[in-house]
Amino acid sequence: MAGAPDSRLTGTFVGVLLLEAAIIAVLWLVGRIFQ
Amino acid sequence: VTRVDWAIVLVYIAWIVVDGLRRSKGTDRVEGYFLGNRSLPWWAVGLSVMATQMSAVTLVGTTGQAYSTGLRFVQFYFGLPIAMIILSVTVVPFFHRAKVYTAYEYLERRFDVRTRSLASFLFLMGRAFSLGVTLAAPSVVISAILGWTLSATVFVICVPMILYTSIGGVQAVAWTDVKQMFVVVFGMSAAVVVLLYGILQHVSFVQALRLAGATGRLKALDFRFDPRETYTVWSGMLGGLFLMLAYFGCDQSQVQRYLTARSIGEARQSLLMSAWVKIPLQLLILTTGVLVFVFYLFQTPPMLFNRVYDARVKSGPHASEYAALERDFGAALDARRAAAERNDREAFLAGDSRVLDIRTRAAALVEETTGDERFTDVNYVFPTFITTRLPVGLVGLMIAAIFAAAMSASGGELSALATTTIVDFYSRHFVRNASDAHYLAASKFATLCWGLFACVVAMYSANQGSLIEVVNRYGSIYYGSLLGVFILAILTKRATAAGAFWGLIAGMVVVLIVAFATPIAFLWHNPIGAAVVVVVGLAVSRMSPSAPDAD
Repeated sequence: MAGAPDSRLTGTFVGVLLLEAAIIAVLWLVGRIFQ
Repeated sequence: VTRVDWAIVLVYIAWIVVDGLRRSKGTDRVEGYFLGNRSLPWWAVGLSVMATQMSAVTLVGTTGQAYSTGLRFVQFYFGLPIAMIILSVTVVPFFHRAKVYTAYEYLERRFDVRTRSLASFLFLMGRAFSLGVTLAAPSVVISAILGWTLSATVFVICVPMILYTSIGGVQAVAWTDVKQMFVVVFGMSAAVVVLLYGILQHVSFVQALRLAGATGRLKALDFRFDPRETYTVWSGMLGGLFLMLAYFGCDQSQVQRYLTARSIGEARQSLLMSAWVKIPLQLLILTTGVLVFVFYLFQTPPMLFNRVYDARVKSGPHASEYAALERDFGAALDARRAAAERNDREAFLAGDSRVLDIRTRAAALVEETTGDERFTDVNYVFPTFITTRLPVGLVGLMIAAIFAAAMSASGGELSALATTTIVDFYSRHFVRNASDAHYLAASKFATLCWGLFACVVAMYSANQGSLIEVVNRYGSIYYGSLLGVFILAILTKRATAAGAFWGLIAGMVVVLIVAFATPIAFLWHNPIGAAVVVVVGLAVSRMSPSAPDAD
């Protein structure tokens, strides 16, 4: 089965998810301000 | 389009062909031809993954969508980063350790040959026709913009692409993809600079955002849970997640990209590059479309961007009506521009809806004149902007980028079609135990044949709907079901060969019914297909007495 991710990979995963959350937050904010 | 621009296009196309062939060293064996001897660096694989997904349809169709409806298409990609994370810890190490050439090869090891053959067949059918669309969609637009015939345009895209793909194999494809990504990002960034320069001559940046926002184009997120709505946060997060899992995990055109990486670690990194970059890159493309909208608030746009249809209506039976509409259009544009400049929101919105109304009436006249019921003008917006508003040199670069995008997306798909044909069918069912040289020659011949087939499909494909959705819709009919089979294969131990086979068939049937008999939006077809395959597959496995190994 699949190999377990090491800590560096886990860090990358968290970073990716944080970036996506930040993008969604910015898009939401831009949509609210300029409507 | 000046001679300088044409020279740039020619030099660029010649360069990618020559360099593609030059880099195809080590392709004198099948593993080199199909998998680049599993030796490519992660960044090249990562760029190749993105380039294969970013076709000319993405450049032309996405900017057009953003011009007309704004940023909301970005939601389509919300599932992608999560899908990449899931794939990089599940499928990537799995396929690399299994040393397979195709994703479907693994299905025979886990289940049986009929599941493998059915999955490969579904891929071949779906991908062969979508390759036709990948080629047809930009060809239709490019031919209308440049005044070429459709056949000539398909020819110009297909000949170099088939040449370097069939001779150079996957390495030629990958290195062409790398160049394409640089050209696309540079070209789009330059277009944004030109757009901003043009807009800032009339209004401030904040005012430009207000104008785009007033028309709803900056409202990227839709939190409503309505399965009939194509793009919402939920359809992107969940439907998009399943689509991306299926596309990057089960579609040979993507799996083959990361099978060329040197190691599991590098293959993972190549996928995670998309997880980081894809949404920002897509936002760049969508923002460009929105900026084109704002740009044309202050510059006079044509009433219809498709100049071929424009000319046909002008010389057709509705010419006088069309001329009257053009006069109204000019007045409406002036009113909208004046309102935008004096920051009068109500008058601006009234002017914008009048412009939209006139364009809708003009499109109706096109439909009546040409009989083309699926006419959509948005796909011509960005190419029109490129050819009429960009400075000399940049026009050539952007046209080259569109050609290159068409070629590199289809090159990857073509290589995958040939690989699946040879590995999953020819060497499995027809000619077993032949020499490597024999399979290599057969592989090159298969690449050539699929290339020619795609060209024929491209020439006969109808121009339907907004281009990008057409391609994605084709995929969503079978992607979810394919994903379901791989979930059964990799994540369950109880699934049997019979379960996988009948589950796959049940998934396809249900998705076809859902697609044609219900209003459920296409992104939801993916989780539905996957769920049906898993549920039916496990149920049949429970009923069938044989253990997985015995199948």
